[in-house]
Amino acid sequence: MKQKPIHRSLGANIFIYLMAVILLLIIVFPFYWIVCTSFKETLDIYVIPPEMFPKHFDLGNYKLAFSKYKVMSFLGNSLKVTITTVIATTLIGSLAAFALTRMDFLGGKAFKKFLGMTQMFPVVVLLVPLFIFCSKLKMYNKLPSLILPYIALQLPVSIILQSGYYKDVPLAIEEAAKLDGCNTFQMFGLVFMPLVTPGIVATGVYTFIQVWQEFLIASSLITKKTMFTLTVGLTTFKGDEMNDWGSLMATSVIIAVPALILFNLSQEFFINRVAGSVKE
Amino acid sequence: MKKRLDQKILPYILIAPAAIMIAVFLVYPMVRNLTLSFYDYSLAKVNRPFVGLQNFKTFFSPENQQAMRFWAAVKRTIIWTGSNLVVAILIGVGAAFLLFSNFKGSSLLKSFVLIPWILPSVITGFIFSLMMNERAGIITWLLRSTHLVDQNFSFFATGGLSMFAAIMANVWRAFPFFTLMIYAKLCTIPTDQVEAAKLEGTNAFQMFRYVYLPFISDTLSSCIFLCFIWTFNAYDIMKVMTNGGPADSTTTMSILIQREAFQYRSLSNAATMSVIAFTIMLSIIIVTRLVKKIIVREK
Repeated sequence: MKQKPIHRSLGANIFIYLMAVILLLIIVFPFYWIVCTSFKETLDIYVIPPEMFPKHFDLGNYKLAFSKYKVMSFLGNSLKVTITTVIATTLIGSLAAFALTRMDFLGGKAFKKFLGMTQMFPVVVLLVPLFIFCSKLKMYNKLPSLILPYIALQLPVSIILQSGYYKDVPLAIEEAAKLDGCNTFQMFGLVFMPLVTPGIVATGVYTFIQVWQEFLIASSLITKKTMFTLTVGLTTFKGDEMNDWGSLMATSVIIAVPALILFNLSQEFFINRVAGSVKE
Repeated sequence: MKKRLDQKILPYILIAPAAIMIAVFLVYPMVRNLTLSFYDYSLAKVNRPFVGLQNFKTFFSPENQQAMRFWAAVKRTIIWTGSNLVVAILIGVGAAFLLFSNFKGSSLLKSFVLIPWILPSVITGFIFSLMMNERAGIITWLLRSTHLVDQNFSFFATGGLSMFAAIMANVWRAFPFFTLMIYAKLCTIPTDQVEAAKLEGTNAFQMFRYVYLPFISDTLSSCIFLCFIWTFNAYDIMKVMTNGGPADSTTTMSILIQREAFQYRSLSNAATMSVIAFTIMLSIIIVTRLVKKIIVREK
């Protein structure tokens, strides 16, 4: 995919670099501003003209986030919800993806088509029934009321992405294993698993990022503060009248960092796979 | 014989967990939402009578307060979705071509470009609120100190400007998706096609119009389709930045429905509105598909 270097006029080059710098600024600045604000003391945040760098790296906002705003409890809830959802979605999705790509059965194609269609379901349509459902099952204000819908919402994309990896395993390997007398379970565990693990992990990362930032369901079905997830917890950072920006940004950093690290680890996947599945 | 039966059932056993989860927590709520809209449902009451189309009538009677609020939200949602899509496509596709021009450092830029998409949308809402804040906002300060706006300018004073602020935040979040998808597609363009066009002496604009645009059009329309659904149902950024205000002037459908259900607890109304909203979204999708088909056929 490497292109040969193209000779361009000086004007064209200047234009390209200028646009590149502007684009980079637009992309990076808001993120930089979150980090920068998180290290500023409250009064410094309101200084005009705004200070481009924090005077000293003040960790007060981070301390306040944990002591006053109970970020630890939000963090715990978010981790519980996200990790459970990711593991369940990826495992359940993996089984389905294996069946859909490697077995021929009545209804398989229709199911795949249906999975694509579910992407049109707006979450807001599901809210009221989920709320009634949860209050009937006495799940209201408990974490399973989030985990169960999350699994269902994430499964279609997880299956579609994982199918791509199962499809890539050459038929020859499958046939060779069959000749050696592998049954379906051995085939799944011994032949496919090692080959598709990178893809499954990458799909899990995608699910993680989606669930980690979910807000609409979490803010609707949970009203007890001790059960809030991180994104909902962010809305509680109110000072006397306005947001307590310092602690809010400190917590934002805490939320954003795991997502960004995971994303960086699987960057190639995002660009190639997600692009591939959109084309289909 | 036994083995063959196993083989027949096995795929169904494998997809069963996924199918059950999706049926119970995705399909059932969808259907339940539809049936709810035919009832006068309230959690507090034991009696929940079937009212037929009564709920829908409320939203289609012209003088009704609720109907007026609802259709105003529909209008705002369409403005919101349309402006977001147009700006995100322009910036997104532009950035894709910029990356494709393969300058020194383009791979560095490429590794940054997905940051806005990974950053949780609630945080996007908050950081843009802060940057556009009346007192502490760096964007507000920049506009004021360059005298582009007067000194007591505030983004969140009027509905139009609040909408503009939220659109900026949402575009920032959405455009990288277009950029990466289109860039990935551009990288697969056959070089002979480009070379042939160059030999014929096509200029940059013709190159874009007759070589690149037809090549990316399928990817572009899939991206538009997905982005349309996301934006139409977007909630987080608007909720955080304006919460529908000032005076309901940025209340989109998601905000209105969520508030109706969880603040006012009128569940039937919320269900009815979401059924209408979903129908509107589907009709827009179906109509655009039909129009696209007709255009393709006429060509």
